Amino acid sequence: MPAAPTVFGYGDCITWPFKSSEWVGRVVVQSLIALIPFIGSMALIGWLLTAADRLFEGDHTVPPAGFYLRRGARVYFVAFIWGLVSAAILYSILFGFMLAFTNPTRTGSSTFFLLFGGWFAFVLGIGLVTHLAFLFFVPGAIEADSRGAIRGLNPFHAVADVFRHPKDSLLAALISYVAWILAGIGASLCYVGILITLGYGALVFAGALYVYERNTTVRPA
Amino acid sequence: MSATPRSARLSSPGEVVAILIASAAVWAVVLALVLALFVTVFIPAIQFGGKGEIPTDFPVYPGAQLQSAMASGFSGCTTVSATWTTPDDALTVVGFYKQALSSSPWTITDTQPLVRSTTFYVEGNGDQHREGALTVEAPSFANGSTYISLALAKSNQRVVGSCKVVVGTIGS
Repeated sequence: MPAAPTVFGYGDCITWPFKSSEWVGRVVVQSLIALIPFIGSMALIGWLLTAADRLFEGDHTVPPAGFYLRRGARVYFVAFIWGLVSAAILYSILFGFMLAFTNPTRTGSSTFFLLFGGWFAFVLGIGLVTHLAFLFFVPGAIEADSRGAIRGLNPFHAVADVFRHPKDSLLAALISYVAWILAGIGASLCYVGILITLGYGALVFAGALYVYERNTTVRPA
Repeated sequence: MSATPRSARLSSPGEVVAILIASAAVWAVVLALVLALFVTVFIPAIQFGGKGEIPTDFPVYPGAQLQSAMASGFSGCTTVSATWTTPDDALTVVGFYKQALSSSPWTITDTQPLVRSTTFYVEGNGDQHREGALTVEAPSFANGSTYISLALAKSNQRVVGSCKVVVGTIGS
């Protein structure tokens, strides 16, 4: 009696690309494409969404490298806008602190200590917020992908998904965190290593997208 | 979650081009804005942030250009560092400060003449106790500017004695 096929779970997100015989070449070429400004990021997002599409179709092979611009445009747009908003808030606070530190005499010494405490709270806050943000990456990407560029900007749907599916959101966030570390580790260890790890990290994220969407989408009976 | 079929999740070529152009344009604008802010606000704020802390009764050599002014404060003690340049020769500048710092509320407590520079150790009275050093340095090449630097500690009367500036050159 043949063994029942195992269900693709969050743990499989790390290993699924290796089942494809041509994964190395495809990952390297896609990572090279991803280095092109603007177009590269959009192509990489399109490629990972195509990989998730294939997983939905039961095809566990890494898609060929290419310019998947039409597939990645809407998620790229939403990610770009939110990245811009986050960067604007972050750097405004950062520059504010730097200006306050360079003019300590305008404030009293007690205010200076408050400022110093505020700086540590800010650094701690960055760590906390960036880690919490991982909870919303996968639901946010799926909502943007399914709703479109403009409607995908509304964060309410992704926030609602996190509260509706806390366990899946947490597991997807942990996999996204691993994917983020994996994507950057090549550059950290040896700069050209990014040609392997950037694409591989994207495929791990694609796996998380697939499992999360499969587990949380209500299908008609 | 909206169940849009995956095959329908494609943007039109027009949307792709519009998003790419818009993101590149926004990026260019943000970069230009950050650079402009840095050059016009941030750098001057750091370079001249302590300008208001230079005592108003401190004599500034006529026509000298302020190059930097930084201040820091701690426990009722404010330290100010400022630098000026002037095209006039160092001897004229030294003569000006010898006279200007000898009149109330400033007193020269010591003078240290070196080959290319002269340092005046000064004290000032008033609402605050002020003490520090002013150095006039001759230009290191012909037609260069004379360099004037001030390091001053200001304190209220309660913390006098615990508020000092250390001025000097290693080896001199």
